[in-house]
Amino acid sequence: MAYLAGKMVLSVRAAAPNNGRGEPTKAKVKTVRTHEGTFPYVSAQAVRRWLRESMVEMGSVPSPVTRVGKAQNKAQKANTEANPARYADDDLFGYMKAGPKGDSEATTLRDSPFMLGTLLSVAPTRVTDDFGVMARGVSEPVLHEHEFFTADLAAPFLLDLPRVGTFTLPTKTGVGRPNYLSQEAALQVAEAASAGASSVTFRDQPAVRLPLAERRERAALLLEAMAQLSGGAKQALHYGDRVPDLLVLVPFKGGVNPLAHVVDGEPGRGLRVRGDVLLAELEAWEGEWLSPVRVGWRPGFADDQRETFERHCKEKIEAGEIVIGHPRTVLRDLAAELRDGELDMWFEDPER
Amino acid sequence: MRVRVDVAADVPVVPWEEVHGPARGALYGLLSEVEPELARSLHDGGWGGHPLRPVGMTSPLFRGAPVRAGVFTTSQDGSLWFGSPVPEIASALVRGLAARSEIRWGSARLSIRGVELEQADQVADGREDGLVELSSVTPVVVKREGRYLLPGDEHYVERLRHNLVHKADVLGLPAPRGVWVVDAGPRRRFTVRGAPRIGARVRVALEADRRFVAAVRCWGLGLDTVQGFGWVR
Repeated sequence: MAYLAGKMVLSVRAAAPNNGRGEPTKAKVKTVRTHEGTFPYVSAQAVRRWLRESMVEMGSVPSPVTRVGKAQNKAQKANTEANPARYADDDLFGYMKAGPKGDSEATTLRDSPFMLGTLLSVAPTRVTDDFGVMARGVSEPVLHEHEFFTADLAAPFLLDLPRVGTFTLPTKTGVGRPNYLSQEAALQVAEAASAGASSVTFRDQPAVRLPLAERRERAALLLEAMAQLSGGAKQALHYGDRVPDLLVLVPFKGGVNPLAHVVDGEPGRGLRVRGDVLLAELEAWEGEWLSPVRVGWRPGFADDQRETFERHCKEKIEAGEIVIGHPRTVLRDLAAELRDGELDMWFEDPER
Repeated sequence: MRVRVDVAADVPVVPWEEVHGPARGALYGLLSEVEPELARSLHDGGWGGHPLRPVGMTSPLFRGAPVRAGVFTTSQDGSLWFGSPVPEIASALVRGLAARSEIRWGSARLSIRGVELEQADQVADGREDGLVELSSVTPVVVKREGRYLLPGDEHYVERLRHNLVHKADVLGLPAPRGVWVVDAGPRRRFTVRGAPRIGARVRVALEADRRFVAAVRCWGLGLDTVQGFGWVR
């Protein structure tokens, strides 16, 4: 099983965890407008930052970030060190490192093995405009506004486990030309080699791969960071928990995520979690997924939906093919299984 | 980790004493440019408290070199291999090579056309009986009581096994359970720093942990791997 497909729901209550472009005295939340109405959202970039910061809280050393371009009065860029062998965040979240315009240094990039969608409200909702006054100790009060909302936000995600700790090397095009290493690639190989990496062919490309123990550790770290997710804007005024309230995880052979309609929204009623849809998807993808499906559901969150979900999935729950627990427990237990080597086959592409 | 370095020679012929003679110097030259301390400690004391040096290489091998009796001819299409099962050494080798445009090989200059990482899974895999077969590209040097041994000699397999067990010990890996010589090439004699080295290419079957087999592919069989002997195809 190569991919861990998932969907997460974050219940946001009177908060503004990710703001968009504001006006001079007004902070605005990010929204999507469709013919159905206004859907507040939290960008994937913001959640990925929360995850990075949670990883740092857990002791992971982040890749240093450097801002380039401004001094030369050219396009502004911020780069990490682009060193995935040394830094887990460069490995898990990918990067694109480009120097200032005209700089001869090659652009290096890594596609993120962890993919995350936009945390979009499951149903249209009204955004509240909060009007405020700062009148303390000043003769002329300062007026300001900010937006906040209440909504259940859902996003799909996918972790490409074989690619964690596996770094493909750029290849030259042209028939029969050798895959000579550029200087940058050679230095990347040297960095990976010093971490004990071996050379492999990965998805038909030459690559270097870190030892399995390190790859397990990194994947586990990401799940543990998700289990204690925190962060976001406006916490002084709108403090709130950011650990997912609902989470569905299914290990899949291919890079698909058939959970799109398992969690969705019903106009006027909000969140809908559909056990019947999950069962139908699992049947349609028989042979492509691995039991059990892990469901994390926080006690007290959408209890009526949970009752219906458990009723629909009764047989699979009793058979142990679907397990339900607290999202934090589910994530941490899975991280422990990865770390202990019980799921080592997930780190290789399945044979077909 | 093992790398192949494609080179072009600036001379048509390499003197016989320079086929394997400059190997050690070229290797330490590469290492000392990027990790002088590592190069010095490896040279002076071996690795991890053992006198063995877990690093291997080949002498330059040239494709399409003209055949001339008794002469080691070169071409513009040559290759050298370097490798080490130890992460620090492998990393230093790759960094050393990344910074180079040529390698001095005795009186010859080998200009580097490119460096390629050899994929571990490109190398031949196990046999039906579960054993792994390794063939050497360069002669394997085995010695007993100051005398060089050749495949077929008494004690040859015993000394080869002893060498492999010692290597496993240095790397902290399980020792091979069995070693058999499947095939051997003719006797070869080279001069290294004025002294002879005698050996032959061999094909061996190993019953061993896969990690150890992978390590031997990056290190080599027998003695004097740092001098270009015993490199595994």
